[in-house]
Amino acid sequence: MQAKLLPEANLLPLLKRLMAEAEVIGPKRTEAGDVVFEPLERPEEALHHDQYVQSLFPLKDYFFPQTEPLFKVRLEKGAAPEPIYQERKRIFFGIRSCDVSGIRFADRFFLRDFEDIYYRKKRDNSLLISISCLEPGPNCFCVCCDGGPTLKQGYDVQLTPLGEGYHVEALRSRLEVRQNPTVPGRACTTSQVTPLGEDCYVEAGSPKGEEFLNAHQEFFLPASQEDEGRKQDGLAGVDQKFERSTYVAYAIRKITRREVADEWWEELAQRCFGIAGCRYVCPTCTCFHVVDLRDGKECVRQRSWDSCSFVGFTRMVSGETAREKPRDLLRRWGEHKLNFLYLLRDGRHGCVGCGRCLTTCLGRGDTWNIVSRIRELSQQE
Amino acid sequence: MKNIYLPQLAQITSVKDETPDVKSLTLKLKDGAFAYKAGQFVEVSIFGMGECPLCISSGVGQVKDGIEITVRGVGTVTRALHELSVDDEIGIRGPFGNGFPVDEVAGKDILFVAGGIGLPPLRCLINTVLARRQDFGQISIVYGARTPSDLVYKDELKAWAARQDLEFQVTVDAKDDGWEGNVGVVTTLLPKVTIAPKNAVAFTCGPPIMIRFVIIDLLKMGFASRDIISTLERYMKCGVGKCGHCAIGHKYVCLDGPVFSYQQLEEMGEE
Repeated sequence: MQAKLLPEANLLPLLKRLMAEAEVIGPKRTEAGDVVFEPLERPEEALHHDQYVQSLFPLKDYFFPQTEPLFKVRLEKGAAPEPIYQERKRIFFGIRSCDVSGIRFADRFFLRDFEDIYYRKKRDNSLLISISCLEPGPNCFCVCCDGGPTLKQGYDVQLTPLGEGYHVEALRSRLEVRQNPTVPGRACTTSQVTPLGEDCYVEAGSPKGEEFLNAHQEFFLPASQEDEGRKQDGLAGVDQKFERSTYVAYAIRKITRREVADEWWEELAQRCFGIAGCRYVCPTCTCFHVVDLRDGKECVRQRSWDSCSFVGFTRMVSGETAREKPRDLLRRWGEHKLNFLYLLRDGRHGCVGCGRCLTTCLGRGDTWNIVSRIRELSQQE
Repeated sequence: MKNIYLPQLAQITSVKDETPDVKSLTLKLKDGAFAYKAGQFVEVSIFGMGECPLCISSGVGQVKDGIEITVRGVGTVTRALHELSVDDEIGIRGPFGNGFPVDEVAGKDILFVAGGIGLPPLRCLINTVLARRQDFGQISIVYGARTPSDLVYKDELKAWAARQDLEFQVTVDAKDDGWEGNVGVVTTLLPKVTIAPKNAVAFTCGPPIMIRFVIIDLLKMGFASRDIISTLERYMKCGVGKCGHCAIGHKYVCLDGPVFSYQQLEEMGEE
């Protein structure tokens, strides 16, 4: 499908339209100053791409909620369990590349072998509109993990901001198109056109994305080759802006070959408080616990996030615990994020470089620290 | 689209006391019987109490339209299972897991080494193997429990002891007044096994500490690590590779196991 251009002036009208069609989840700033993805109540609430980099949490809560009912059942003989599904249609707007990569990893995980119908329904009812990053945040390292800052695949629709100001000729021709009422679907008025506004280069990455662009074509213009050139130019310098930029291959190799010594993990694990903050903010962490909640004559079976950093995570009824040493709990995290075998099984290794573990961890037991400290081992070899 | 977390209903058709804390329940599956392999497990639900993984203990085809499970009452769900009686209903999901290799070991001599409540998963395999006895070479069963009253399937043990086409030995850690048989841990019986390791496969199941010692002895006897096959016990919630509790490296005990050869366990870094 040919790429499109989204004129900045069409952005708010587009969001308004989307809000009439579905629940739109977009980037918002809370009173405390945090960036969160929440349902938009007004299109203007959505943060502009240069007002945020990373949201506090990834989007996994929307597909794999922190607590989620699986089914309810009356506590009487012969009563069969009735599943509880959430099938709300949702459009995710302005999500970052690393989070799309995280969702793709979770897709492979939840939808392979035994398919998870709860996850499937929520994914089928979602549309992912991502936005390429032009400015990394201080803890971002997606560039080291093939997680971003822009994507070749995985999104339904990808927007790439083109920077301010553009070729006058192109501008003029577009203005003409916009002002010409005979061109179908020209919704915006002249007053909405901001000549120095920031247009976005728009690509569809899935049949769902193509369908979306076709259904909303009045908001988009055809993109020219020149626009594509501007997109490439705009992205060209982004990789160099990352403070953390060394590829994680060395750590992957060492961990996969089990060449990182117990003592090394033990030393790092001394810094781990075992609070599972890293696991909860990680887009690719998906472990859960299941409980039956009784309410009178009914029971709801519910799953909720769990964490392999908790000692009880592997404690069996016999009293034996498969993993209880702090070093083994931390190594489990390192393995899930960096072992090459996950790449074979899930299409990529388990870290997308969003940097949230780094932001969250008080003890620096985060993936970035693991990667960079393992790299220091190479100097000793 | 199938919902992997939704149990089907099963009716308890019989309850048998095996030991003071172990019961066997036969279950009739309301949606009809499912095909399963020896060594596979089911997730058993008591709504309002929870769910737990239990191996299927009946041999393939042994229970019409259903399965048998043998349960020690130690946790919330298993203790609640002990309170149930005939005609009560529970939830079942499964069968899950890889199961024991059966066709793959046809033609070989087979040694079974079980400890305590580790016999039920092996008993499913033993009965499956005995149902096609002619496909296998020499068969030897070694079983140990803490005390004579902790031995499960007492009638079946007698039947095995009476059979001429297999070698059967049983022992207890501590005897009581009526016991005249072997006393000592299960590994003390291994020197008396007449099977030659060269063309044999050993299946072992029991408490983790027992398995560790059995494997050491089997290796000494000359069994290759790929010919020592065990089942791993792990805390698990879902049984279908999602909840993450049973993960070892990138493998899941519920999907890739619970049956592993010792060679695989070594490769996975489990000992």
